[in-house]
Amino acid sequence: MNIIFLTLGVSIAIALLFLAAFIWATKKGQYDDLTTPSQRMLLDDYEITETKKDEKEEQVK
Amino acid sequence: MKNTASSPGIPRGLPKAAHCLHCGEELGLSNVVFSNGNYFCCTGCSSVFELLNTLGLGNFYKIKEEQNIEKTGRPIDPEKAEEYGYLDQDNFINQYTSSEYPLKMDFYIEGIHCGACLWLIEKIPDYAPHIESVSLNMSSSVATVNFKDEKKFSSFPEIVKRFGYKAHPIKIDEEAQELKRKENRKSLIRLSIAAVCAGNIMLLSAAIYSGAEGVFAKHFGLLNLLLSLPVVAYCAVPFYKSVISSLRSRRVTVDIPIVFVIVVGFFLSTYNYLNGNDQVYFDSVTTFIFLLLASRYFLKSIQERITKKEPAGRLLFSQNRILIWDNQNKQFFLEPIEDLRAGQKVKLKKGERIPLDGELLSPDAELNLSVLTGENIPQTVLKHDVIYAGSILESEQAIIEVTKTGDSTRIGKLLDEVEKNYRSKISSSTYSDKFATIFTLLVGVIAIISFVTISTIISPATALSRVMAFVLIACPCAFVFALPLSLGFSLNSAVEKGILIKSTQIFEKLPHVTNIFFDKTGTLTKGVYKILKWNTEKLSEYDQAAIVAIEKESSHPIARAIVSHLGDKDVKLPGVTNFKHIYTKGIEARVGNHIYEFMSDKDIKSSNDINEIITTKIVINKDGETLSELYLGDSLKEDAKFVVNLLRNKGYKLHILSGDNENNVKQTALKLGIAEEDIYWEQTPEEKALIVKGLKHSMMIGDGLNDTSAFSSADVGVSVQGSVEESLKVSDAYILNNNLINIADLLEHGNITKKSIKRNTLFSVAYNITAGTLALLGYINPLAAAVLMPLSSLLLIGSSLYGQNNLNQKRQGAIL
Repeated sequence: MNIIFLTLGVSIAIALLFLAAFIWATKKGQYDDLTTPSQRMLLDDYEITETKKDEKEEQVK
Repeated sequence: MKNTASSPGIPRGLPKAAHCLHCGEELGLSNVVFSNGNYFCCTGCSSVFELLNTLGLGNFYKIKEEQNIEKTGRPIDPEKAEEYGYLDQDNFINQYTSSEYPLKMDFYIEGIHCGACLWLIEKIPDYAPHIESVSLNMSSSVATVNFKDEKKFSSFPEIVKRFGYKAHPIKIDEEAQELKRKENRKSLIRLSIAAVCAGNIMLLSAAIYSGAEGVFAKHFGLLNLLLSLPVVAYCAVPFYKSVISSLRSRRVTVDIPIVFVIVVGFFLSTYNYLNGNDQVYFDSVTTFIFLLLASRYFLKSIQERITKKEPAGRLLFSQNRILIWDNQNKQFFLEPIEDLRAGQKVKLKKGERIPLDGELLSPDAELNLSVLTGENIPQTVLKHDVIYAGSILESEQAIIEVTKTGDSTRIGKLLDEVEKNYRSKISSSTYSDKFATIFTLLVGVIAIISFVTISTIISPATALSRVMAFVLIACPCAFVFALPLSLGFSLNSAVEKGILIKSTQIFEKLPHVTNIFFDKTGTLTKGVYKILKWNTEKLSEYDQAAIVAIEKESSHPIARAIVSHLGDKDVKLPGVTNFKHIYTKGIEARVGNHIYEFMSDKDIKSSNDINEIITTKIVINKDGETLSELYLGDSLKEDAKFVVNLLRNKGYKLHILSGDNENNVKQTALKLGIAEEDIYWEQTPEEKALIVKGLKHSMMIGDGLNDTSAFSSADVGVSVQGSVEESLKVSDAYILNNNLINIADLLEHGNITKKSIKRNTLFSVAYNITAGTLALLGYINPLAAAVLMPLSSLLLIGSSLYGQNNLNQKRQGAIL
């Protein structure tokens, strides 16, 4: 039955590994803004459509 | 800007249920603009539409369509927006930015509402030459912009301005911001550690309870002790801090019994484990801490979603400048508003909001006084009349002598009062704090009495272990997490329906509301001024052309409504001569050989239509004979009558509190079936506040600055329109989508929350009495505690959830 101590050690090690991964992600700011990134990825496909370049530059100025 | 209502070939009438192509606003006859084959609500919308298309940003509308966004905010008129030139000046750059690359500046952007806005803003670097990158945080509306060129900070706000947003450069207190971010991350980390440890402890404890013995029990117990160490020593730190600060200020908060339970539970368990006793409660203590952290994190994140809609950080400059008369140089100079002093003369231009109280020096001026009256129709003021801050100038220009500025203006005083009222409102103690005081005292007293009794009857050792078990098991669950959860669920489902709530205290006040006060214009009615009835068929082509020609001379909303109702004639418009305003009556002008008069008539009969409220009757005379009559007015919101009936049937007493005139308010009350003694007309903001204060348990529902002092005098103030930022500063709740049914929902939320709090309290009392007695009699062992404590918590969470489901079902039932 001593195998239990090994499996227990492994299971806790795995749990700690995931905990460490979660803490790392949190510290990197993955959970700081939960709304914008989800919107942003939906908008990747939309590009600026071509227009006359002069006109555009004029508008920006 | 130019080809608007006056563009040739505007079709007669409007397509059914027309909405502005840009912002989605419903189009009335007074607010329709036709441009290049599309309908808009204002010239602002049509010019933004054109600009986006020429820039190749037409996908903005595609995204809106695909995401099903119907209504967005109206663009801010670029003419009214501030100038940003100062951002490029050396003294500004030196003062507010660091010279290090990347050149970064934060902007708070007014008017962000959806993914399409996000796309539009973040695409700017693709074509703007001075901007490196833009990253927008939608929940806080803050854009962080990196610039390529150090003297071009103005380029970003200038572009954004033309899209109809308003960018305010903000100086975010980097340290405070960073501290807040770290705190948020820390609480998430605390929660995750507690979750991992508590989960593993539960597994190990299950083994012990199901009969693990000897070396297993010993080592499992040791593991439990080790795993609970980080939870007690790190995850629970916020509770310790809060208790220390509450002890310092001599206040009893709900955290005191919590810390008591944690400390007693942990040390008792450690002591018992080391001595080989089986009274070990690591599982209960860690689960308790995890559930607490989770419920608080949940509540905090919902609350943040709401408060984030307010501008973060401090606005850098109030960039408002005003033309002030300089006596030495004999001309007007643009000076910062802060420099304004009483006695000075200022010149204001059309569309400007007047920032001072003063006396009019020009012969006359048209002013929109909606800030004080709530009515959007401009009023004429004459020379020497008093002008109040907050009104908007509608005529070309006005010269005003300043009497009061800033906080001493009428509106400044009002807002000051509002702020004071709110501070006193918020500082009142909450239900859970009151409960905590009683609970803590009671548990303490019972513990001492029991300890003395049991030690005399049995032995001090038994007494200690039983009292410890009693303290541990007597859990204030109902108030430490069931209450925050109930409030959190209510907040959340309110937000989803479009009700933003400032403070959860509102739920404690809502169930007591008996008197409901409605503002009229914009709250019960749409606030859109339309022509309701006008028989134009009898008018000859010539008369119609003449009417259009005359009304084009005026910028009054009635004139604009008349022009767009008739539509542009292809015929050449006749020349207009002798155009003059007749004070308070109307206008008169000559076309060809005929004199036309447009006179307002006080003799108004109410409309037969259930929703229409006629506010103005105009009689058109030609050479002294009546040519035609037309009726203008506002209409009730579609759901106004339904909601009013619903609330009345539920037993609320309804009142109307309006700044509008007697006739209009009476018509509205009659249509809604509100008794004449419950309506008030021609009320100033100050009077509104007094009336609301005069009745107990009141709720005020309104839409503008003129209602703010009433909001703060009422127990609950609800704002239904305007910008989120401003409304939440002055009211307790803000209704986003303008549906009145949300008022009924809000009240229902209050009742449900109250019921669920009541149910939870009752359950908690019953649980504590039973479990406490058992503990003192010595029947509670660790297994019983391990089952009872989480079970009671789960039951309470379930009970909080049950209330919410109930509400959702009710709502569905009402719709079906």
